[in-house]
Amino acid sequence: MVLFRYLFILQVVRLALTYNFSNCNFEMILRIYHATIFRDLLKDLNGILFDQIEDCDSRTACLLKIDHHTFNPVPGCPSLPEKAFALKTKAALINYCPGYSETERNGTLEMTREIRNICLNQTSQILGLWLSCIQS
Amino acid sequence: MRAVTWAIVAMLLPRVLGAIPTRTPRTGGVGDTLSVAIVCHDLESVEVTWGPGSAHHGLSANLSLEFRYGNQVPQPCPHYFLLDSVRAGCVLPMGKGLLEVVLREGGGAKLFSRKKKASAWLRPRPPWNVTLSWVGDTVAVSCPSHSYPGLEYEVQHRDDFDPEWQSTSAPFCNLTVGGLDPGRCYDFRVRATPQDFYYGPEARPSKWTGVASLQGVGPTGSCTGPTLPRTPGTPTPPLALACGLAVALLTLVLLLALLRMRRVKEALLPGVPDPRGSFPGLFEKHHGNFQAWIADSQAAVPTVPEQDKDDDVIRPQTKGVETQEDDDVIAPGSPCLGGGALMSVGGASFLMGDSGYTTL
Repeated sequence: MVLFRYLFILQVVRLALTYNFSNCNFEMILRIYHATIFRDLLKDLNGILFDQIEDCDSRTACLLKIDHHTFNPVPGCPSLPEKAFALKTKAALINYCPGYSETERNGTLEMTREIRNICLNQTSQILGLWLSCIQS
Repeated sequence: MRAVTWAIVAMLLPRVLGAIPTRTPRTGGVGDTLSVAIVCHDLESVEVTWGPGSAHHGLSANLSLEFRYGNQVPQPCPHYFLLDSVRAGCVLPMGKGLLEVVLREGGGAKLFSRKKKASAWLRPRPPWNVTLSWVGDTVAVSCPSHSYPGLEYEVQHRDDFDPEWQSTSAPFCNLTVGGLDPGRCYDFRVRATPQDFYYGPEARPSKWTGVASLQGVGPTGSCTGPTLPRTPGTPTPPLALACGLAVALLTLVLLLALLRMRRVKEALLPGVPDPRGSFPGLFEKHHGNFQAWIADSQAAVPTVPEQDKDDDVIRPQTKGVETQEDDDVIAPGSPCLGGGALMSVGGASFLMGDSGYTTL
């Protein structure tokens, strides 16, 4: 019971301390996206595209979701944060978002087996968020 | 421990898959039964068209389309268009948020669904008011930019020496094509292409503008005007030229046909010679009454010499009637003529009987 209480408090603190990306240099981040991240995403997708599930209407909101989907591994695709586009995204955010540092990620699901379709779908969602980001 | 891990995966996987559906990607067809194309025209409207895929040879029933932007309530298609009395497409208004399109068969089973930003299917309209001008050995190309960003303008040129199109592109419709010879005649065309990093890999380039020919110096007339079509949708120069040639060719063929018809008519129905020239006064004085004309002509004949009386040959001497040579006059009593007088008038010979005459 005490453990759950601590976990709950930890989540509340984490939410309160979630980086909001409002101070990022969006121009530089989008340049990096254009120059490298986009090409890496396309290469991973290899022409396969999925329906877009999530959208965002501001650059801040988009970076928040990009960060979440890129660095929080989902069951079936534990390798996503280690992909080339993810590493370049991390570098761009660290360099052009003052105060940003990679937060502690939930690692309990990383042991799941890799399922190609899940990785492709997740990558497609991240591309859709980048497209929304650059258009917003 | 391993079993516990797999149990957790088994519990969480369906939830994750539910949050991010893993539908198989579609590039225009669903199981080859339905081919669907979505085009966002100039970020102003969205056109969805469908037709039978390779597995079906025709749509047996009308499909119904519903759409929504973001979290709106799904709406039916506001404007279907038909092909052979069957619904074949729908035009949707532009909206904000993700566009979800669902096609159902008879309002029931879902045949097709897509969900994306409408801009993912962008196809811009072709550039308009494009101007080309020579600056030294370069050509400056300019046109008004579209009202939205993320496009690239592509100019292609070629000439007779190098018929392959060469491309030059820039993010604005204000670019320069270099390394040209002003003495040569070049063809140019322009289009707008959505940048893939901005709209995604499914957006499509606009149509090309019409081809414009341009020459810097040299003999005039080898190239046409330097301005591309001013309004999108007007016929392109090659099309206008082809139409003109077709009309000219058709006119020529019609004229030849008319000429041929006249010749055929002449061959089948030869013209009747006008007796007006051979029988002067026949119509003017006698209103076509040949008997009266002959009588008049006989009256005008001078006294026949004695030696000719036996021949019964009338030789009219009236004005305009020439005397025939004796060789041309068939003598009376000839076996083929039977009885009657032979008369020769104005080049025509007649065998006169009691009640009429026979033309020889």
